[in-house]
Amino acid sequence: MTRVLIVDDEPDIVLTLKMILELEGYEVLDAESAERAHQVVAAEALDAILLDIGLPGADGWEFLEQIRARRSFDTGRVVVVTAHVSASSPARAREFGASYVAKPFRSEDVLAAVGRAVAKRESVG
Amino acid sequence: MTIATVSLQYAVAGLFLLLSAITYRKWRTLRERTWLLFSFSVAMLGSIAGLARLAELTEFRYSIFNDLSVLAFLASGFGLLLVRHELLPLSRRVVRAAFVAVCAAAVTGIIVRIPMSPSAHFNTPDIVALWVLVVTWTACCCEPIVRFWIAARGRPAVQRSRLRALSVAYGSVVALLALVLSAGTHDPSPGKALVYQIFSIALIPLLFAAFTPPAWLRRFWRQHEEEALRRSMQDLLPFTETPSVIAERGLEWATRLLGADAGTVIDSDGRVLAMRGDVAAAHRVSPSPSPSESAAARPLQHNTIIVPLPMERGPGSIIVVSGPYTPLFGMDEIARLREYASSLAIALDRVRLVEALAAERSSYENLLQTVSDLGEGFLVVEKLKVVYANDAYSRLSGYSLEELKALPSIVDLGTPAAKEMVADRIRRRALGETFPDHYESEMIRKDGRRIDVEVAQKFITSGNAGVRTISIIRDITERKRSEQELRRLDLGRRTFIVNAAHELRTPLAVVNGIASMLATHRDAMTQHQLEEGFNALSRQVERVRILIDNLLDLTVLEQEAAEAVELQAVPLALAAMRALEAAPPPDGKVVEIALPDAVEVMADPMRLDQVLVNMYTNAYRYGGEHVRLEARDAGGSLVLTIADDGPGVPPDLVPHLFDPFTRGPDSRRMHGSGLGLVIVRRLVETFGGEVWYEPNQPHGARFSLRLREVA
Repeated sequence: MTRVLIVDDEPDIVLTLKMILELEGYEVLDAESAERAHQVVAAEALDAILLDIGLPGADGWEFLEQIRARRSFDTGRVVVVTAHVSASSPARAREFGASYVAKPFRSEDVLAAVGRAVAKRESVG
Repeated sequence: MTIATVSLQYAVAGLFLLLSAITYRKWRTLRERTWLLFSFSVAMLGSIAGLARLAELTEFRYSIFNDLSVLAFLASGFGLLLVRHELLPLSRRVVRAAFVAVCAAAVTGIIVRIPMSPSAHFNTPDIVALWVLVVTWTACCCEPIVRFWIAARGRPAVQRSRLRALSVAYGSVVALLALVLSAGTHDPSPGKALVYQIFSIALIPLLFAAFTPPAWLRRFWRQHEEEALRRSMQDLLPFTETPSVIAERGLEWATRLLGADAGTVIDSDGRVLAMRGDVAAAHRVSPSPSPSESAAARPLQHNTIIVPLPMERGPGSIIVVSGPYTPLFGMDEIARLREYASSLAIALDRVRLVEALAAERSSYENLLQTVSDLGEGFLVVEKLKVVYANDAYSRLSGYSLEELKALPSIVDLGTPAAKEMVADRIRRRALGETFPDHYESEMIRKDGRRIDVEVAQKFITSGNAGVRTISIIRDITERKRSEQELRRLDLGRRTFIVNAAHELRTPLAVVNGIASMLATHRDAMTQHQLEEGFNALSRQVERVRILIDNLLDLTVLEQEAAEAVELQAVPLALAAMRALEAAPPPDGKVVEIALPDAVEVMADPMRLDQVLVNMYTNAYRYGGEHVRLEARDAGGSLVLTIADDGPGVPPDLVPHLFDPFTRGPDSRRMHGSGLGLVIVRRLVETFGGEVWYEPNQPHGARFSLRLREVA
């Protein structure tokens, strides 16, 4: 089963994303901070990550920098999901090869982005 | 009688009649009664000699010559008295009395019939009648002689000399008569008769000179005046009064020089600058001739001279009118007056130049004062040294004018950046490059305070003074501060909107996501998922409601910030209880209210309730299990504190605690709007109070409000 990690400190966002993904057959894990997410990445085999930017402690961008530096996860399989919408955010996400979905999101946009991220693993694999 | 005497007698008669004819001609030209009366008087004198000759030729057979001689003799005397009356009017009574006396004397002379023959015997009535005639005639002549002599005192030289010439001439006639009478009534010796005739002839030029003095004589009379005039002309130049004063002074000398009676100085615009005597009455001349009329020196009438004043602003004129004592003006007077007019014109031009410079200076000073009144500094600098600074610049810089002038270089007042800018401007100017006249800079006041200034500067090259910079300097520190404040407010507003939008995105994302799943996957969802979904929807809608409420509260507070809030005494304990009912503690939280019952604070009750509700809510969300409300007196004010035993506020968050959308580390689970404490601060400020945070011991948070206590 395809495993996706949701990194977000907002419980209802986690709940919503989890519902969308689980109903489509994904196995979903979650982490409320970057620190916790690193632990999950290290412990679990993941196909994609849905990443919030406004996290307590290290934010989403720092998390991306860290996993790229540690080579712990392919940043191309990360989907940035954020309410911190600015003109530079999509471009910044692209620098990491990551996808970008702005809040409020539609379920089909999330699923499409996750689908593309998972496909990258399959093409690489 | 010798032939010589007879010839001289004819000559005397002829010369007197010639003088009479000349003066009569003058009268014909000038139509002044003085000339006519003088002509008459002289003619009468001349006719006496003629009648004597006729009587002698007819061997004294006709008494008519006797009678005519008596009449001519008295008429000559009375004529002179009338001349005096024209020049220096007598009272009517005196004139009438003189006339009666003259008539009486004439009647006496005619009745008695004084013999004309030199060889005739004079009886007593003849002698009495002769004395009546002589006394009457002498009285008519002597009064003017004395009067003219006295009146000459204190008059201008020409007038004085002329009056005295008249006095001397008539005096001589009287003297001649006295001489003749003193010789007795007998026929004089041929020698004496010759002397009398020569004396009579000598009187002619004297009378002529008295009435129509020639130019050389006028110049002679003027000699002393000329000297004084030269001094006056020299005085005119350094004399720096008003044009009117200069003109009056000049006119005084012009009339005095010519012995004139009246005069006026007309400006180039036709305005009368000065007037002496009654010009119009003196000769019925217009006081404002047109420039064309006054363009050339010429007599307007025989007794008026108009000389142009060649002034810088256009030609004016001096008009001088002769009076009864003034000899007729000739070319000599015109030349003298023209010469004097040139000096007067220069003096007038000079005084006008001085006036114009003074006006220029005054307007310059007024301008500088106005600039200073507006608070604009004005600075003149030469070779980096201050030459002039107005009061406003002194206030701006903190230095007095003397201190500014003593500065080695004005650039010393600039900040390093300003010094660099000045050096750059000097360099660019040396290279002939153009650069803006206006710039903004910074300067350091005497008290060390840095101020922002706006400078408008011009370089001026002025003769020996070299290159000067003239600058108007305005203090724009306040404006700069306002601009920065506006930028800060604008940035804050934009940040607020971005944050508010961000706060709405999260609940909308939940609503949108769950709603779409309910629409498409409702059948596949478990009961648990459905319940969780609906609960999430409910929480997020509530979150949006709170956010909207708080945003509205803030907006209202912003609008009401400028309005005075009506404060009243509010019992603090009651307010705390009311707020607790509105925001009861959730499960697991305990609130302890430790407030004295009687304490009252000055506040708006509704707003105080809202403050307390927000404070409780904040403590429930981020505090520990125990929440305590306490108060302490702080000298006229009361400090109300809500303390909890939670983790407290992370130090890096404390400076932003009362900024919009600042929330604690665990806020995502608490669903706050991030505006609660902002609203608290704004509300407390409307009461004139303040709010602050401090950590609780051993852990937790203490939010304190300072409120005005009711005494």
